[in-house]
Amino acid sequence: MSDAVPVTFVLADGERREVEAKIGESVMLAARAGDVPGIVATCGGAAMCATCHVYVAEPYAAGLPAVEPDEDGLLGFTMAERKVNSRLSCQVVVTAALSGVEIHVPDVQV
Amino acid sequence: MGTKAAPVADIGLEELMADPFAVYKELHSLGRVVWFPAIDRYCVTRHDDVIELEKNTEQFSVADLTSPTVRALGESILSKDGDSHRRERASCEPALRPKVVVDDWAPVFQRNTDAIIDTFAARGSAELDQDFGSKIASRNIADMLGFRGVSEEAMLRWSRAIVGGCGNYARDGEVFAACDVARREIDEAIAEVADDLRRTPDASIISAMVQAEGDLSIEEMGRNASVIIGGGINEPNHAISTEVLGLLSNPGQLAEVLEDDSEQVWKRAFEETMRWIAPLGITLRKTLHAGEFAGVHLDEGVNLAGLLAGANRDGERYEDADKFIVNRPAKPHLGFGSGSHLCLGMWVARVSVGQIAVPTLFRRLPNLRLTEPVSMVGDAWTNWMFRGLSHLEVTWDVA
Repeated sequence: MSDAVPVTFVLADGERREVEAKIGESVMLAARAGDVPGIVATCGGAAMCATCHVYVAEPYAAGLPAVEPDEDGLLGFTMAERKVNSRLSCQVVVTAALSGVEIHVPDVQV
Repeated sequence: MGTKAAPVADIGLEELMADPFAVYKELHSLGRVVWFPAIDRYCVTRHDDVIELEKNTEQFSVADLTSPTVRALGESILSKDGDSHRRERASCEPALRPKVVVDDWAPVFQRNTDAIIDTFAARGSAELDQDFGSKIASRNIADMLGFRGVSEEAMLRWSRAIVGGCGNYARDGEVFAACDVARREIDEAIAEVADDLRRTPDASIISAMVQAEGDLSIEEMGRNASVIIGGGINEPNHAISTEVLGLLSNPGQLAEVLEDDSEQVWKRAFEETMRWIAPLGITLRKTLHAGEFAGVHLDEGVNLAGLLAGANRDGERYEDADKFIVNRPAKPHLGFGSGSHLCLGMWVARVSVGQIAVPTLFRRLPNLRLTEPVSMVGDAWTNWMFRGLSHLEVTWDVA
């Protein structure tokens, strides 16, 4: 089994960025490694800043582990609208099940 | 592209004290990393490079056992990296997350703010630092810690002793002694409430620490509380007067903000304040090994300063960077730093200052105005490292 899976980030303007995301790392770190713009991640992954907000496309979003209370609390403070598939990318761990997922980056983080 | 030695800034300390933003601009024009002998550090001048400096924990560390901060506070979260930093910091975080700040603390902040404004509202004039900013920050932090019986005066004295100790590069024995007294009194105040909070948890920071996994020692709790008291009073106090100054100096923008009076417009005004005059000017790092950074060679063990306040005026990033513009395009700034040492009190500041203290002042004091013009440099301002007004006279209409 490969230790990375393909993930597509779709930017607010529609541009698509393909990234090989390492299994076991967060989606935020995958975005950072792939120089994906629009994911600010000021706190570096501590679930304190709410600036790495993304929308995970279905059916992948429904298959993710549930939102933990800290992430849930912070999702109330994102600048872009919270939707049912909103996640903080620092709290989503890349697994083989995410292979081929589309992750939409909102137009604002701050 | 080879690495080279950093350019040298031939600028005196007195110039930095007199007009830090002019010096930051000069350093920026000299290069991305500039050796600044007056503060004995390499200065990182660009916004993106400061973020990299804070992010790259392989190359840079906050641990500097020779710094006065370590003598003043012991090895606190300010001077630790990695897992032990993470553990101690995480113990406070439950009380400082935005949902808790808004749900549990905002009503307390609003009550405190109104009570303090009540003490001077009928007077028609006030000195904002003494009458309002330092009082409100002291009361809010005392309540958040869980120190119900501690006075604002005691909080302020502790805070000043700690800040003095952390900046005591001259190693004045009396300054460290005052800091030691403050830390002992803080430990006593924690011991007084810790048992109660162990049995009956609440939303306070001490409660979060006594409930945290892996049992923090009283020393660790005392160090955390000292960091919070040191950073949690000066900086919100400065942010309050800086924001009031920014708005009162720009009547057109003030009118728009007051007309709108929404959570969003106050948020923008506060974030612009933190960008315009960051209360904490620099972030300190040391190289863990020799290597290249931003195009220059750095030896092992050299000291750096990321110019947070300077990077917030980076002209390549912000248009009219020196101006206070509430409605500028939203961009992240470094007013709270970034990375694993991102300001622990960021949400507290956003709510207690940005949504409550400053809006309430303007709502309650009609026709609030500067009593006299304020210069952007000079004696009214504190030192360059902790930038803010030490004195701001304001006047308003009383019926």
